[in-house]
Amino acid sequence: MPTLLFIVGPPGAASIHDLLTCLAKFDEDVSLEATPQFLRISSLNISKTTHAAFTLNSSFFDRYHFSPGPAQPQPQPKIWTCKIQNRALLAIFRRRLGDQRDRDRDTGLETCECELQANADQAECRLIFRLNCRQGVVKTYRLFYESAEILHAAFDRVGSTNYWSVSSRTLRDVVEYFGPKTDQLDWYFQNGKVTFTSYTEKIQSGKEILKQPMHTSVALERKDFDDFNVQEGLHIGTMVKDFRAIVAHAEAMRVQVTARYSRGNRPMQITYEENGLLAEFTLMTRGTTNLPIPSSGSRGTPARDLSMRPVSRPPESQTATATATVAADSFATAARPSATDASMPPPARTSMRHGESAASTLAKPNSTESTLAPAGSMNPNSLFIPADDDDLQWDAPNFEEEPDIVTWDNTADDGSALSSTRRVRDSALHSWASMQEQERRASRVARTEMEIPHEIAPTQRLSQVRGIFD
Amino acid sequence: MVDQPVFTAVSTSARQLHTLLRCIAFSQRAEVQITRSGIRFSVEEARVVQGLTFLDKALFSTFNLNLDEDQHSLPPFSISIVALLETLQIFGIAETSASRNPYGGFSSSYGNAFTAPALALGGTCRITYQHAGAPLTITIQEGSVTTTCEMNTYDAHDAYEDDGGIPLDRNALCLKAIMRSTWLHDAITELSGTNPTALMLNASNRSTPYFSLEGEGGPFGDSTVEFMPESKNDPTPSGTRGKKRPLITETFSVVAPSGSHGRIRQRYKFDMLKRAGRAMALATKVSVRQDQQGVLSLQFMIDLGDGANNGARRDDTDAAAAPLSPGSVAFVDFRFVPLLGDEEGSDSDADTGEEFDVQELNNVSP
Repeated sequence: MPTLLFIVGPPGAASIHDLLTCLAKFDEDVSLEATPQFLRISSLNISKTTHAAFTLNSSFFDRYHFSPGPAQPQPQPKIWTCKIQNRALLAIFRRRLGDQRDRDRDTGLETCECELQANADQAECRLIFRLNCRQGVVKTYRLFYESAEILHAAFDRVGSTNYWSVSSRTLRDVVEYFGPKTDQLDWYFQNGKVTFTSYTEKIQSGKEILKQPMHTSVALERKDFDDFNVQEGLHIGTMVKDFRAIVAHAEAMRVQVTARYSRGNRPMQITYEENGLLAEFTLMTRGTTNLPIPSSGSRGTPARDLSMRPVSRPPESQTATATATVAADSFATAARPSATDASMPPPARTSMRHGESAASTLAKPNSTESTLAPAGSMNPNSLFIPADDDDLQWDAPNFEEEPDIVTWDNTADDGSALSSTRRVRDSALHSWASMQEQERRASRVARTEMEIPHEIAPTQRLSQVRGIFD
Repeated sequence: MVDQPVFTAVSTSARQLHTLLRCIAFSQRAEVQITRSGIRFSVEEARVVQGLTFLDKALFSTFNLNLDEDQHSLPPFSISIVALLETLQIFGIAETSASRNPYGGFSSSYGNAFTAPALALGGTCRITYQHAGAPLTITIQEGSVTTTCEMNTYDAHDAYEDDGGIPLDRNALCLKAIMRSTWLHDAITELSGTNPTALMLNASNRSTPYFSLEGEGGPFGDSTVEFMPESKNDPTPSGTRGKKRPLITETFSVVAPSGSHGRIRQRYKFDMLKRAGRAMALATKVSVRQDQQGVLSLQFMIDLGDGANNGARRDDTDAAAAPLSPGSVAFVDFRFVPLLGDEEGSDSDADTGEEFDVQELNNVSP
């Protein structure tokens, strides 16, 4: 039976209140994970696009003790996890009038103890919070909890080469200008300035205008940032609401905020740390229309590809089919909608596309094909990045090709997060996606082979294949 | 002489009346009884909670009740307390929301010294009752503006005994505790965080917990506020060490019924307790009493300020002997009927039922 006990003083209780308030903006439940080293409080929003985690290590607490209990027959992870309604915790850690009042006379909080009651000989499992206040007043909460498997967002720190670091005050000043009803946020770096834009698209239903379009842009000089390394012209899109919540909490702590990301449609992480409290927000981002020319440093690095791939994935083989399979890049994904959308492209153009599509897939270190143009010569702006990224958004989720959209690991161990990345898959959805994927691959292989003379001719007409999912 | 109203009272502070009446305004109707010593307002809900406040005649600068020698009071009537409160605050006295200060009571002029109540310009309030059954007339005068409200009076639908609707047996008290009202208010606020359905009052004179309030049946879990005999970290005042009573109580006595191991456990509906929240927040002290039937009485002492706009101080001579002059403090009383569970003795169940039967009879007879 696990044992958990921690004690915090009034400043710690206030910190917990602040972080709970922040988590409440993401989800109504919070997850608790206890390990011998730290306690993590996290929330995953309902659309699973934002994961907010606060890791409190033992220096945050006046006292912290966790032991997973006697060894189990089968090796179990040495953590204890549960889910609990945030409202219940907020009621406990809410700011009390007494905390600010005359401290000598009133029932101000002295210490807050939390203890897990989960013994085999007790019928009730409860999480007990005991608030010891002045004047001998003891407030005890015995909360229900729900044991749960906790998901973590996997974030590839090595591959996220873009980062900036700025004081929370600067960010707050930026956020203050955002329109109150805007929902999308976009930022990019150009000409020595970082421009944050909050915007709302116009939404109209018949004659009724549901949302008025609104754009607010705030530009920061590069020198406002303490640390800055961002690819020029790279747009990153996220939600204003999430960003606001993060900035509000960071500002309460007055810390240095660091954001790391690779590019749009890949996760971004915002972190800050103080007094034994580490905040990590992993947000899904969206790339916007004018994606920049990816520099060689930020894409296609072997390290990132490795981290993107499931561990169990077999090594690449040298056959043409396998090479096409390894087109596990959203670059190729982006190319696909335009290829399938084109009703009947002229043959020459089509072959050009296939050539370049293959080039992108084959421009791997281990590629054996040399008949095609090198990867560097293609211009993705003109051909492969469709303007309508809505297509990407509304595509059936394709876990093979966009592995970063939903990657979670359920281990609490930070160090092994990458190696033990576990994918959450909706089996039905996944099988559908993979079926589609197989069809596509078949068609792509067929097309590729048409241009490669020494291969065997296709056995199926392209039009027949496309008829299946058109 | 026909035009002479049967009752006239003038108060120079509508605000005091408003403060007191607002404490019990949890229901639509209030029953009013005008006696020779003051006006008694009583509000009840579902016969399980009752709020009482008594506007002592010392609160009024003029108090005329024309009764025959043998009569003690006018027949009770009921009015809409919501409308009465609206009337009393017609000049915006409620705008200075009584900010709660840590020592209970309300800070009257703190922060806004130039508002009407702070400058004692709150206007005079005249209450007139022409004859039994006539409307209650409230005239509020401020400067050259006079507002007259006539409020319909209704027959009181049931006549209670003198003591009040919910009987508290003062001779068979099993718990009596006096403490600062803020403690109780903090505790109830704390418990309401888990949104409980029932409040368990737990008291003992022998073993811990000596006095605790437990919120039960909340959706997230249970919560308890316990008042310990000594503070864990603070140095305890030497006089109280070792005493079997909570540190925060001024008076604490438990006379548990025999066979209960010196412990009282009684449950009340939590929502009903919250009816007394406003009084709890305003009051200086509270006296918690419980009789053997489990009826809980919370009597709140409310400080009506330093008398800057208190007309009562002038003719206060007969009350001067009292430690607290009736003009500066007022009392609001709440009574609660317990929830009856199977764990408490069935005899108390029968007693309460009997009591109400008697009352029903009383109500029917007049």
